[in-house]
Amino acid sequence: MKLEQGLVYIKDVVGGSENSVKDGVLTVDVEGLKAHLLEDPKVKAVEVDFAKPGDHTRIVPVKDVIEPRFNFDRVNGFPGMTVKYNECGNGRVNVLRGAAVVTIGDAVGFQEGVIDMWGEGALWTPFSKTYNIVVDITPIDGVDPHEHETIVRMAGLRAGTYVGLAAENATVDETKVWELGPAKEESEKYPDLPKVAYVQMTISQGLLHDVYMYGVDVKEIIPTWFHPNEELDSAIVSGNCVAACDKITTYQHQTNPLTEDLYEQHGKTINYIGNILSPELTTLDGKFRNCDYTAKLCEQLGADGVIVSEEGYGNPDSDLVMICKRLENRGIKTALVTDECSGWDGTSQPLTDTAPEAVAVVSSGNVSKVIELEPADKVLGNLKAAETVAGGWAGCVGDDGSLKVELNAVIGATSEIGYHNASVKLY
Amino acid sequence: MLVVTNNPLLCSEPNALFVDGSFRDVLVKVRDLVYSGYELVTHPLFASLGMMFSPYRTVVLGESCGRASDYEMELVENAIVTYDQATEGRVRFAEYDEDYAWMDRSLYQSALEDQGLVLNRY
Repeated sequence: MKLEQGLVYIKDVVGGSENSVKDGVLTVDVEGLKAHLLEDPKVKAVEVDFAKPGDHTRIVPVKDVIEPRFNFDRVNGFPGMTVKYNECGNGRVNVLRGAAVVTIGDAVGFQEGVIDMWGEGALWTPFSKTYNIVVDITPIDGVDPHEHETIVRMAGLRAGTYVGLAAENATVDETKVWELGPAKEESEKYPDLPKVAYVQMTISQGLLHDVYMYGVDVKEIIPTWFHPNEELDSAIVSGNCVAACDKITTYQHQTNPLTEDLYEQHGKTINYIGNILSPELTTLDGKFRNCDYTAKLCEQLGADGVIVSEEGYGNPDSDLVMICKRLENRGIKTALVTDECSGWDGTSQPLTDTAPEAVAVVSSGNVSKVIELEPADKVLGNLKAAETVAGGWAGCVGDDGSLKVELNAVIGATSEIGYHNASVKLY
Repeated sequence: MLVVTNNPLLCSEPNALFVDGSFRDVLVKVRDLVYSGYELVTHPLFASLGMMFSPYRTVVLGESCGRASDYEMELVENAIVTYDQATEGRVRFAEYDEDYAWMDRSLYQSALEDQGLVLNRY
């Protein structure tokens, strides 16, 4: 597969009467966007606002983040979700790099997180650096939480595609080509390099805990191999809204840095043999089945090494460790990427489960770390929601609008695929 | 099949073992049953920190085979440790209890669908 991404660097966003980019300034047809989203008869109201890096703006509760794009060589949109199925991963796509559609709104009372565009909060979320088109979607009355989640998810994706229309005729600043041939060909090219696969675990357990690939609810599938380009070309969509810090937003799927880094090393230090989607189920039988199946796929593909990334916290820790054990027991070297829940002082047991085979573990941060966020000049969404997002607690919102929360509450703060700002400092 | 729950929406579920107590009390009850030989069908914990603060939890057990599984005993003990750690120092926020009950039931139903065929044997 060969995917050619034309990156259009966005340096500002304004409202206007068309979708276009000129000299890095993205113009969004706000009224057109609203009208487009209101075409869904289940959407009652849409509000659109902008949040730019450095603005004293707080966005809460965030549902998802989407990168706006325009596909030239396939049906434009999210195949299987917002448009009919088309294979993702080939052809040309223009990307509004630096812009993001951020959806907000309450589906149930407790959920999702905070994006601060300035100050301490901005240090912790990668989406403080993007020019955000914030879309607040209100469904019609009487929908249940399942429907509500679907309406907001679909509206966010459609907004991403609508804003992405601006990329069609935009001047491309940089072109990236992602190309990986059939495993046999790549192995012939690099016979001496170790074969490395990437296992991507995704929360797959039900309402607000789902992920979709080509519109298929992945809790319904057994683990499957896929080409890395498919994810980079919008085949995977987030449907989970419960753990802000380590939720993999749709944006982070579209730009998965583990995939990009593996590509970077392909042909140099490794032979990258593709990705495996491994759903994290809630039943033990399902976990055993998927973990066995994931390890078997890696073995059958001839992997010498595997990188495994987790999504979520709690019962997925068991999957992470089981996959690691099964791979190591097959003689496949395994590295894990996960975050830690190590308590406010960072000294508690970081994962629910452990194993002696887990000898190479990359931590993306302690989700329990407490941070203090000063009051915002402007709040998009509902500040009260901060009390009930993961990481917030009763009384964490001060009278002046300040916030005291765990990193849990901050979108993408401890991303387990590495799309985040936290890093390690040696003393 | 045994449904250990403190969720009022599930108290009349067939095979429900209602625990009149907290999320942690459910975990402790599950631990006791696992030690006595009941098989774990669903993991005792949710998949996200957001749900860790739910006042309600439902865990599905299989039948008692009279012999406790080492793996499951360790798993349920670790679940209690993790729960204590994640909720330590937190002031409970009661406003959304109803939503949590609804979510717990929804995730329980998804688990049943996931394991429908297997559960039929119980």
